[in-house]
Amino acid sequence: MTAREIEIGDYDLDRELVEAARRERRARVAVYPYPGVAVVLGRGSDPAVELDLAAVRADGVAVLRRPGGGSAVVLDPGNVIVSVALPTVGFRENAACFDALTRWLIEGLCHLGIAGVHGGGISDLVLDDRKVAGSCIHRCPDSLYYSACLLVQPDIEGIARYLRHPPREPDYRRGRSHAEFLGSLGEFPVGQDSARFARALAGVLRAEAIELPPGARRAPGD
Amino acid sequence: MFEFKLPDLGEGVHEGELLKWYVAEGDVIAEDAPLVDVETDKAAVTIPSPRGGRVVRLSGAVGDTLKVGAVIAVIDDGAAAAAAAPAPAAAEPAAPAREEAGGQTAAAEAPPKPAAPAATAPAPARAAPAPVHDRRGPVPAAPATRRVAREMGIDLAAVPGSGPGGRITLEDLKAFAAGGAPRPAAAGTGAEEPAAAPAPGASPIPLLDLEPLPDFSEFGPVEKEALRSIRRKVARKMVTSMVLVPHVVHMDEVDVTELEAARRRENARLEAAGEDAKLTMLALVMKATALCLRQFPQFNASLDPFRGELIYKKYYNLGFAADTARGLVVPVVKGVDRKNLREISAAIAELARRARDGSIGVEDFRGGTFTVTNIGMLGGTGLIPTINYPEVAILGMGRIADKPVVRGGEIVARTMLPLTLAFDHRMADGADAARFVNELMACLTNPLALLSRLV
Repeated sequence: MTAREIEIGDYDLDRELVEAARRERRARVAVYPYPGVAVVLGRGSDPAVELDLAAVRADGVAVLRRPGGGSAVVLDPGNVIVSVALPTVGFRENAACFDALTRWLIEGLCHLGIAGVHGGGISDLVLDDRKVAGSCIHRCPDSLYYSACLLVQPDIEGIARYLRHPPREPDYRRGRSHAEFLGSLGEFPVGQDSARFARALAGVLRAEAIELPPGARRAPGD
Repeated sequence: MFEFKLPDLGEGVHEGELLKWYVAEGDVIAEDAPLVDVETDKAAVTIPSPRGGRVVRLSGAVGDTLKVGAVIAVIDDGAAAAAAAPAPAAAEPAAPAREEAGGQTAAAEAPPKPAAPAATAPAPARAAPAPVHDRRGPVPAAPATRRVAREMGIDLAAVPGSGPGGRITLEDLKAFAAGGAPRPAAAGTGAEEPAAAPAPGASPIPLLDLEPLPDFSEFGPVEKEALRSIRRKVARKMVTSMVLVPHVVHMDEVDVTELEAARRRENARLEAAGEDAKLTMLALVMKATALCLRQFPQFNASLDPFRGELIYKKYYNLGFAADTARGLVVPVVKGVDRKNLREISAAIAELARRARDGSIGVEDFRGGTFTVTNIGMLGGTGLIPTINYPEVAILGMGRIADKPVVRGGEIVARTMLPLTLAFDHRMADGADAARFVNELMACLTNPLALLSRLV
């Protein structure tokens, strides 16, 4: 089984969001449970390295590639996606942008009664030393697209089946397997159902509250 | 020519992985059109071209690491042509004046700014009059041809093109070069620094001809895949080794009848005792090798050609080649000389498992001093391995098999193991290799000899 034998589509659920943000020159946010099952590669992921291709092929799971970076993830309806498209300038200060968006997301979770979540690695959300969300950015000179995947009711078994140990890992992972490393927001009352979770989170996340670093902000009317 | 350097991608970011080129060499790109995607720390960045023009050179392939500040693309934005126009270059049709005047006339005609390059550029040293090529706009030539011209220091504007539409071919370049000393391209006409990697057709090694590959799709369907990840690393390492290291290969066949029998007995005993541990022939060979390396330090060393030093290592970390779904990897068992056979077997099994499931770490590949590759498990009577540079020797194990051999005038069946030692001839000579392999064979033939070295 080689990477050539699988078909890789584009993750395009947020395309309209990005185009609207560009067109309207204002931030747009979308929150939704992933409507299916797919393995989603990072922009530079090598499927032969990151995936168990035989398992992916045997189960007929869709393989998509997202615009943002990072390693491969497995998405299913137990994952809630938070996507943000922002008009920006230049392509620097990505780390500061990650920090700003992570803070914004953590504040949103606090509004849902989910406390104790903090940042970890480059842009993860961590709860009790376990990853409960990962995120990525795709940056163009005039816009920033951020997408976070929140593990609400994650299929850890599926993740372990389709994903190999990633080629890069944050320090806090410490070589742990997927099962040992990944956590869930499902223990909180609002996390019992991912669709309800998405609706609740969409109700508290406000695009205006995102505070990008000055160097990345697009001036009004720019 | 505009040299586009990888811009600063943010605080603390010094490099990024090249994800995608949006254009190929020779393409025309508009200003602000996407040029390249680069990834840094989970952020994929689409970087636009700051200039419009023809893409002359792209530096780096998908999967490469690009350094901030390094030139990643050269774009012919027309500025060079404008600057070069007043110079006495081949674009001027006034052939007689150009021939006799050399730099002087040109200097007189040139405006102050671009005059210096023209005046300092040596005149072509050709016996025959220089051909005149009244070209306006870009010179028609394929990207590969442009690269070769750069490497050869030939100004394409001076080369007559024999291809369709006057396109300059590699043959034209060769003919041009053969007609006289290569003519250095004048400053201001687009002369560039040589590419980091040798271009097709232009090699720093005399007589090594690196021609661009033909278009194989002319002969049948093909499928293309980017050279990346482990495959790319293996390719880079192997080419480095084969180009840099003068390999010599010493082959022999060792009688492991007694050792193999002892190994089987020990494994049966371990199994009966309910122990998981299992001794492998690879572990035995690695142990024997580590012990022999103490006597032959020239095979447990590295040669630093830049400092002119031979580095003898006083530790014995042996790598072993492991075949995984992602390709060849070489995990390293540390301190093989100090580990017992069961520890070595267990370390090999654990590292191989982690290499296969992808959980192996970078540290597990570092610090090797010598490599053993056991292709015999998969078949084959022997192999000629490539040294795992910067190590200086590698031992290949062929397939263990019962073979008829002559002992005391009788033909008897013995269990034989083919061995191949490839070594760096800068570090050792053939006699050293023969003695080393003889010592190793003595250990493997007679378990007592191996035991005697353990103390």
